[in-house]
Amino acid sequence: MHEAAIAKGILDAVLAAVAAGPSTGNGRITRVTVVAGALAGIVGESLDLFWSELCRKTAADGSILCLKILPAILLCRSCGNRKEHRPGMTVELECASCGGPNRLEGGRELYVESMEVEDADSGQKGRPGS
Amino acid sequence: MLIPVRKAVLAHNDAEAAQNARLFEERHVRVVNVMASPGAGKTSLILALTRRLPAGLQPLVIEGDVASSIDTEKVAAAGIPVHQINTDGDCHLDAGAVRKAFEALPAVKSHGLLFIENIGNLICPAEFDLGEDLRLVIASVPEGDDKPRKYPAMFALADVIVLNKTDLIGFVDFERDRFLAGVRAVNDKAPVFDVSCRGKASGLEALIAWLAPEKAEQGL
Repeated sequence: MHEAAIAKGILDAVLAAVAAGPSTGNGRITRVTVVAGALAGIVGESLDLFWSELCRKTAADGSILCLKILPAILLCRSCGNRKEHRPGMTVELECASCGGPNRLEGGRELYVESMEVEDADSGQKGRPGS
Repeated sequence: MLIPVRKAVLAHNDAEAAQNARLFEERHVRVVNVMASPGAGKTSLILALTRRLPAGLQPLVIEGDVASSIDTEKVAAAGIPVHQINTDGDCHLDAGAVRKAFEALPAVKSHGLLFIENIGNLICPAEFDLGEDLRLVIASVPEGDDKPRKYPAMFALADVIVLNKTDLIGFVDFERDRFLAGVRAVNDKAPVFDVSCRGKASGLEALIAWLAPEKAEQGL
């Protein structure tokens, strides 16, 4: 259940970025992109649930959270063969190419990559009579 | 409007952990973050190690549990300063909670060795730096030899791995070579110590010598 803490960290990061940036449109966040490595242990559905609840009555209320999973790499220590390792896959002990011992590398990334913010005048668009 | 952010999701916890690390160093306390699944023997190992520490190295314990003070009572009964953190549902300890708990413990006279018993699971605690010096991950024989491959993130970050309950090898399905191959597939640096904490305990002195080498050598 660490997705609650992860969602809080994401929200803190984007709200701080909105507060810090002079050119952040009207400040309403519509989309946030987060990069997580395959070993970060993030469950997307769980994160979405906490995200929508945490964002209520903030500048990110109603925003979409886009989770980009980066694979880890199974690297053969004998022949250097590389194979992508994604969440849920088995850590194969032996290289599929030469039978040498594999080592799992990477997959620990966890950062907010970017956010989309409404343009300064978008709050006026499409409103009848405005 | 697309705005780049490029900020670590756990930046706040990481900053708190860095503060903890400075505090631990100032107070001459080495800190071991003990992580394992429920029932792997975290409390048993901590108690067995604290009983064997060299004189001059004062044990301290922070117990993390979702609920209860059962483990804290065991540690306190052994005469060791201990502070309980109850997370009320959270599956991991974070750096801020650990600092408050550390501040509630008595100061050490010379040097201390603090064991932080994290919440029992092999997933969430891996993500949260506490400012520790060493990350100790326990796997126990009855859990099976496949745990490093099923929970690669936890075993990948370990500085030291303890295989506990080795007195049960031969009584349950567990192949040590297969366990070690799984460890080496995700972590090619951490030493693995075979330990038993029950009855005729074994492997504990070697682990202490690794955790606190200068103290063990001095026999202080």
